[in-house]
Amino acid sequence: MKSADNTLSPAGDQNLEPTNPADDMAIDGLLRERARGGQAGQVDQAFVSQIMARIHGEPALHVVRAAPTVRSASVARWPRRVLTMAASVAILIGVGIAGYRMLYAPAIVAVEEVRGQVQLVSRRGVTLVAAGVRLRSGVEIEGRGADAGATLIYADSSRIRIQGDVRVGLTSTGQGQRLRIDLGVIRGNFQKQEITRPFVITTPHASATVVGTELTMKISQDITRLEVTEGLVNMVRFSDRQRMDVSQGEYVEAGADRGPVIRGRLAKAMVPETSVDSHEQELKWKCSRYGDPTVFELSTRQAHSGGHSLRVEYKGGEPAGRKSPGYTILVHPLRIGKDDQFLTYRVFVESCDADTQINTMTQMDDQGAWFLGCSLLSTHPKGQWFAFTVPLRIPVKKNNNVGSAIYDTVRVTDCLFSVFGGSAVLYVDDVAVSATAPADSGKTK
Amino acid sequence: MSGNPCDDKTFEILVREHHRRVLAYALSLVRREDVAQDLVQEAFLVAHRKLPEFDSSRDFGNWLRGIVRLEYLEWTRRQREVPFSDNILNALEARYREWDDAGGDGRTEIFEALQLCLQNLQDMARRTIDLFYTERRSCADIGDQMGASEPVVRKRLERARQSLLQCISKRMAASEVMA
Repeated sequence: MKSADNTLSPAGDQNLEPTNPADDMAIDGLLRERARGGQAGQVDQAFVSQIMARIHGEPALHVVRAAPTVRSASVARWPRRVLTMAASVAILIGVGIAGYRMLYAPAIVAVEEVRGQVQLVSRRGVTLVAAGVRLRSGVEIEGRGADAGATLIYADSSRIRIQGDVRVGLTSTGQGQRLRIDLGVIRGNFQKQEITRPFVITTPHASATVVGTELTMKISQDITRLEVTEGLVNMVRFSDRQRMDVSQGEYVEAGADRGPVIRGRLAKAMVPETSVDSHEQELKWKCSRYGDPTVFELSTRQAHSGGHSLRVEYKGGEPAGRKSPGYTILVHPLRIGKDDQFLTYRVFVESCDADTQINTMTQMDDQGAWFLGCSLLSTHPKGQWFAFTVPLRIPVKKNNNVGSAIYDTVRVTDCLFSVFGGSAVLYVDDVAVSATAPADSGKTK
Repeated sequence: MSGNPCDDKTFEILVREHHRRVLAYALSLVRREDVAQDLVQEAFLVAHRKLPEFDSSRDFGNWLRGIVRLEYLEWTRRQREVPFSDNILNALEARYREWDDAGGDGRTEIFEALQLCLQNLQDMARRTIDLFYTERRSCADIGDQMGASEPVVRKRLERARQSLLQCISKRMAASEVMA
């Protein structure tokens, strides 16, 4: 027998009963499994999924087993030494290639942003993932806790956002990118992929092939729910190999059984917004020449999503030489799509005067500005995010002192965000346009 | 491909219920995660194939461990390693059966008992166990960190496992009596 490791040494403590080797092995196995699979009561979903996938005819994901050796009569006559040498050379080449791939395989994904506890799981152990890290093919990412999240960006700018308790595996193959999701929620925005190299997402219950689309996948123990908000996705349910096309605005739920596929239209509120600025990149706001100076900067003190927001600090009052209350105007590039009907700012009020208001307008290519809506900050609870939503397609001409006489959304170049009537310290985040008013829309006037 | 989706669902429940204890059993035998996972995956595939032959009056865990044992013997044959003796394998199987029997029907489950017993370990023993099993450090590394020789670390691990075994046995027995 091969030499035993520490688990088989004889017991020698006076206060403990001697342990027989089998008992020591049993405890050793328990401790190893605890270290591998986590605390009591936890299910290793990835492992269960692998077994169920193999039962459903999928190939083994991790385990590569050599095919049984069958020695025919002719092979048996070969000199054993030649065969051994050939096998050794082949193994050395294989190990060399595998080692080269491990060391020099190009990164396939960059981690743009991380919230909460997100970790990289490998056979070597678990390490925390930080923003800016680049990941190679074959890694697994795990989010722990409801506040965990990360945004992963592929070389072609496809983006995947993982949220909450989630475990995903990333692989790059000659046939395209592969993403395995064992549990949790991901949102993906995929650039157009080559038709012969599609992006394939696999869950314990189904696989989804995307060529270029925007989708959300929610995987629980029993079901995979696919929501397509843009483009078309082909989904295959593993239990019966049923194929289905899921188009924009539709959702499908597939479980491990072969019952009827649950399918329907996404509620309008679930159709997501198009982000104008999530404030995770460089500052894109500028101060308008028409307003008073103000302090505005990217900040990490508050964030509606991600790690940053825009902090605005405006000192109200009546500026020198003017009898009316002052105001400040911030300008941000904006393009309005044909389906966009609403503009939303998520706002967090740290402090404000009783009469401080926020206001938003659109600006045209000839500098004409069109009023969209305003809101009195003191009517909103302090220290909480609220949605300031205004309609983008206004019915009549308003507040346009220069330039255009007709409001044409195609000519809109910027949105304007103003604070006036008093002082305030507030944060703005997740500015977005959408076809319907978001579910979290607040009251505006 | 399996035939009946209801069977698949039932089998998935069995996998979820048993996989960690069976993995612990396989790790007891081979001490390598990749090999243990391989053995257990194969065992579940065999179990799924032979499920119609399974006598439901028997314990599924015992049956599954029997399959893992056969897979282990096959693996040692391929690796040209001498397997553990039948006596050791029988004793190991008996220990796991005892834990299974004591842990059913809402009584303390073995990993739960292990967790509680780990909390009761002395600090030094607990730290040594964490370094060796959780952080996967070698005995030599642990010795360097704790200012002890490698044999001393091995001895500490061994004593810690003895303490855990006794604690787990007491807890499981108490749980059985209360149930």
